[in-house]
Amino acid sequence: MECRDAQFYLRWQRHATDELGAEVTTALRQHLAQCPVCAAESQALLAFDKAIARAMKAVPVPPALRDRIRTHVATQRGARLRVQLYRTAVSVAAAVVLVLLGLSIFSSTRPRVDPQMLAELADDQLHRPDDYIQNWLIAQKLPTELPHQFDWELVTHRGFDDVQGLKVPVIVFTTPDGRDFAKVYIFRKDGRFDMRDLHAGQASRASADVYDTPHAVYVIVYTGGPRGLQRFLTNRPPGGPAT
Amino acid sequence: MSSAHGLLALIDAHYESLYRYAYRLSGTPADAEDLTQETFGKALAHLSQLREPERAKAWLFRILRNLYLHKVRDSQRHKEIPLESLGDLPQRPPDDPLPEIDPGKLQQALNDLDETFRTPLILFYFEEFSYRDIAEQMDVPIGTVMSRLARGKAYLRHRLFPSHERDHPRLPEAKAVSGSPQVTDGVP
Repeated sequence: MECRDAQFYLRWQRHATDELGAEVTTALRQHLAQCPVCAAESQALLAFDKAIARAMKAVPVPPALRDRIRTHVATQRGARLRVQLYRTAVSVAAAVVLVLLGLSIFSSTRPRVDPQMLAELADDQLHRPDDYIQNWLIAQKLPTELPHQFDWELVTHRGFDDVQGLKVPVIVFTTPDGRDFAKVYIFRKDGRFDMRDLHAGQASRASADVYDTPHAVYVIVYTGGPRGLQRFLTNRPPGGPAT
Repeated sequence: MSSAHGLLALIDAHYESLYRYAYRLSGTPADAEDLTQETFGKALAHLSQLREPERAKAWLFRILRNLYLHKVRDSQRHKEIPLESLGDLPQRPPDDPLPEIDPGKLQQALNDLDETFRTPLILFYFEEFSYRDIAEQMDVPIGTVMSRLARGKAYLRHRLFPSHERDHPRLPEAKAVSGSPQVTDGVP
């Protein structure tokens, strides 16, 4: 390394660092070891740097600064926590208002239990049992004609029964003495059930007849023996039950 | 690092060096204290962004400098000494010892210096930041840092030891050496 190069690098040499790179630093050291002029210049520059560094660092730090910073940070942290708390509270309040609003809407739209209406329905069932059943069949979009002319006075219930896991419309007739009953199940032809090749059924005390019509399949279950169904009819059926 | 406990540890570890840095940047104890406090306040708000705790010091110094620049941009209170007229560090004889430097005079000299030269000088003389660290702090190439340092040092010598500079001629311009960092002008 020549003196010009050495003096170029001397401007950036630092104490105890090797930022010029190992190759340059080694070459510079070798040059300084053999060139008293550059070595002296190096010493002078480092002395200048040391003098400036000493003065640069000679800044008295206020004795209570650390405590003041800690106080300042604690105050800021408190303010931030308060803001966060406020935001959380606002969010919770908004959520509560939304829930209450939802509950209010739900509450105002859900049906109210109406004993009066139920009493009037029971009246209809007693006084106009045929209308009571007909209107229900219409509401359920079911054929209004049943396979037999039933005695509507004997209707005790109409609604839905669970049949093999599915809700099926049913009309229940009961004899005046309450000992026998007939249930008319109405299976729509909507594909929910496999209704191919159905046959009548027979148990020890109950029978089941099947009537296949264009819009629905009727299964009539009744007690009272083979002729038990007759007790619920006003006249003989036009066609006999399927076998 | 995300806890208040972590921030208190950062305060204990770095408040003194940050204060000194702030003082040398701003030139007044009041501004230095404000800057130091605001730095930790800002650090509190962004503590979750500190991914590498070992880089905490550089991170805090960067926050402080940004706060300082923000303030200065508002006030524009610093006179700026153009450095175009100043060359590189002048040569002086080795047997001519330097007198002790008055820290107050050093501060006056720094106050009159543009921030782009003042910051690398301060960081350099704290001897805690490498050229690369300083370059990262200032978002400038390392060559720019080295150039500004050389010219900043020349300025300090001119201000603090005028008689030396009068008595001794400057170094001749050195040739660029292959493989050395590229030194750009950097003078605003």
